[in-house]
Amino acid sequence: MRSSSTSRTSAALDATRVGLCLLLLAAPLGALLARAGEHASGELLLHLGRTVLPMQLGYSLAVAGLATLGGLLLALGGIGCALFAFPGRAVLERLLLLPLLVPAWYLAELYRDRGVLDGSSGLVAVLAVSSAPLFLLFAGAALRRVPRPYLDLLELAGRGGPFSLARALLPLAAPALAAAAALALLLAWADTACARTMAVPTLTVGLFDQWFGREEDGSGAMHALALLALSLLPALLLYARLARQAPDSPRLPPGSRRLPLRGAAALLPWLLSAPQLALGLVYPGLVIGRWVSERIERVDLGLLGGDLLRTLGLALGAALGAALLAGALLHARALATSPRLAALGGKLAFALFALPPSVLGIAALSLLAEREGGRLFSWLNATPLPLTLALALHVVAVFLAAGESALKRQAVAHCVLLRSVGRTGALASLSLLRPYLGGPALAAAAFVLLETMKEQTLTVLLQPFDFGTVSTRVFQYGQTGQLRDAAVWILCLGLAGLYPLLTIARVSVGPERA
Amino acid sequence: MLRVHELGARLGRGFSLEALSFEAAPGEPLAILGPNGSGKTTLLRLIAGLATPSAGRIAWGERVLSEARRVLVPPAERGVGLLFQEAVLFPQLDVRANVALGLPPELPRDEARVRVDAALASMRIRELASRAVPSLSGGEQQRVALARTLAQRPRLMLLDEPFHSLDGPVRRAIIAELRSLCRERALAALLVTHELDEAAAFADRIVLLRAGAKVQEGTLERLYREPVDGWAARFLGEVESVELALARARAVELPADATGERLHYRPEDVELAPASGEEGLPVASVRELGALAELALTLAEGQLLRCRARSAFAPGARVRVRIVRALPARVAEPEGPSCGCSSGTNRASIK
Repeated sequence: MRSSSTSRTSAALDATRVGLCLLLLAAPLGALLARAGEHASGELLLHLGRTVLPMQLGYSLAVAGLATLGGLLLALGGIGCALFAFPGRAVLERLLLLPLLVPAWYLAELYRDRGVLDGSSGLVAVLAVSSAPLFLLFAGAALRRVPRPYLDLLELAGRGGPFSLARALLPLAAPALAAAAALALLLAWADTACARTMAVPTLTVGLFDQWFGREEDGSGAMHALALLALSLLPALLLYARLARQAPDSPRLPPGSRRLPLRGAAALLPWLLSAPQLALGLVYPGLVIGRWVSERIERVDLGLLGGDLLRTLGLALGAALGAALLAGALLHARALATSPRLAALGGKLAFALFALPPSVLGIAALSLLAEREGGRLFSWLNATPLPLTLALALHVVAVFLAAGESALKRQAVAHCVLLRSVGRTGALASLSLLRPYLGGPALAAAAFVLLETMKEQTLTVLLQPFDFGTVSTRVFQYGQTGQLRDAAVWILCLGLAGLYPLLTIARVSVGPERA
Repeated sequence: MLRVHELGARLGRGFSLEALSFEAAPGEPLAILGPNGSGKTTLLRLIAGLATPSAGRIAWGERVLSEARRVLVPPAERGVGLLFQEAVLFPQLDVRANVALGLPPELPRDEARVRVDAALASMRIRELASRAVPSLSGGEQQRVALARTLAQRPRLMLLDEPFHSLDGPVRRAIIAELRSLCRERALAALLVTHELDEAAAFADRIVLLRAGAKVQEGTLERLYREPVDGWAARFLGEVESVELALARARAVELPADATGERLHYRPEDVELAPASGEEGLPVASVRELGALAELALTLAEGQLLRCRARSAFAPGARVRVRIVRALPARVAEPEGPSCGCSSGTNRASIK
């Protein structure tokens, strides 16, 4: 009796916890729907449908699709690093991750300022450069898990050449490549800052202009809903792909060798990586380096230090919030009594990832504050809390993706065991699963830190009380045409991101193999 | 003929293969038997050319394939077919394409088709040719892997515990087919395993490996009856011992050459016959094992004589005991150097 009562209490607590997570995730979407319901009408929808929406939708789809394809093509050389051994492989693998340190919107501003890239093609190029490391990380990690006998077999059959090997092994990494593609698609789809810089009229730019420029809430909400509806497909694809990852064979040794590339073939990964290195690293590195050397004496170190501290604090807060939220959902899905609710939470989280962070922030928090007449929630606006929460909601999908993938791949039997022995408490079970979840959680945290530190639009929009971060400072410099002065801030942002980047490299790309 | 001479390899964490030598002739299946971590898989990778030895030589006939720190003949040119613990099939390819993967890429398409068909036919799985890999059973998958290896027309088959994931009947069928294929096609074949059953069913000759070093080589009968030390004796089967004086006092019939203080024997090398009255030893306990029963007989207070016999006797019955064959006295010797690996007894035995 006592045991049954304890079990019911535990289930109730578990359901409450997951319910709170769902509420947090669903609130922004509910607010968005409410705002659209208040202001929007059939006439407005028809008007938007006849005028700007088709064009913006076309641009958004084309840019997101081409940027994803471009990211995959730019990453081909990097993917080769996961399969082959060749001179300088470890260096190339890490060099190709470095573009993750530079915000895509700053790259867009830099290229536009220098007259190198502009318009739709420029936007596609910048977004492709930014998404290429995602393919490298996902595919690299997946290929590293291909059991060694597959490589042995191909080498014995004389099929160890670059094309034969890639043709045989890349399909084994297909789920990971699909997940990377969906992630890149969602990032490009939700981008606002790059598109505005390159003056491309995408759906997000339309949303930004309607909502924040002209303060036409109804039209903005309709844009946001259209964006969300169209985002659901890739978001759910990503979710489904993660759920369908094939488990590794426990009897086969994991991949622990790369096949050697000899002669001219050894140059192939370097040649394939050259566009990515040039666009994402060498050219921006040279320009930023020159600008820093020109402006270094004029830098206010106190201001820079303060901005960096606030940026790091914000990023850590967002990562912590997202990790807690994702931890609760993962625990409920794997071990506790509400897997269906947790799955619903997972889908909502992936949908939120498709929304621009600025929309999330405004929809979830500012709208609530206004609706309460500034009495109940107005204190929120005086703190960085709304910003942190909005960012946490935006990136919770990253933690979920990493955790789901790790649990599906490695720890299914462990979850069953923990359930069978009744060790389903959150802290106990998650600590027991730490060997499986630790690495992916660390990689997710590092990725979230990097992305949150670079985030611009939400940071700029929700800085009510001079909560300056590196992003807001660079935005201010950009507004006044002082892009060169911003170079020092960007360089420091990159240096601050080095540790998270090295962590990602260590966890996802892995140490040197035998 | 495969010739492995004084082969050595250093593999980190202090593990190595040490001066390993043996030969494998065409048509004569050979098994490398050893506990987990004894270097069996490493040995196969060295022979396949997938790893480089630190010492010694691997040759096919007179042609040296690898020598110290050098792989002279690349894996694809060695004529080696490798079967793994699992089938290692590519899920995106159908059965035919998986089998074709074993063929040289430069082979003309028509010839490749003929060889694939022949390989599928030899494994009696032609009807599976267009099936998707995930729809196959474990046994079917291993047959496809075997067909892929045969399509390569190897002169040497390297088998890395390929029967591990198969159930009993499928395992027995595939082992028998492999054995007959090796004989028919005069293939040299090397099976590595830690299961005595598998080694016994497949190979004519066995090399016993421990901690990267050869312990003993010979037929299973020789290894089982004349193990070089206590570790080998216990790895290959169960060993029992009895105090000679006590056994004689209780009228246990012993082999004529039994000397020393204790006699070591295999539990199935004991013959039992019903005894009457106060003759013989009382049966203390009986455990049915299928065809055999495991019996414990009371020799004296607190001392049991254990054996296995076909005839089951009820507890309390009295039996006359004859130990037919003794193990060499050296099995009482220390077990030799520790290899940091399992040295548990292999439950199988010669029937």
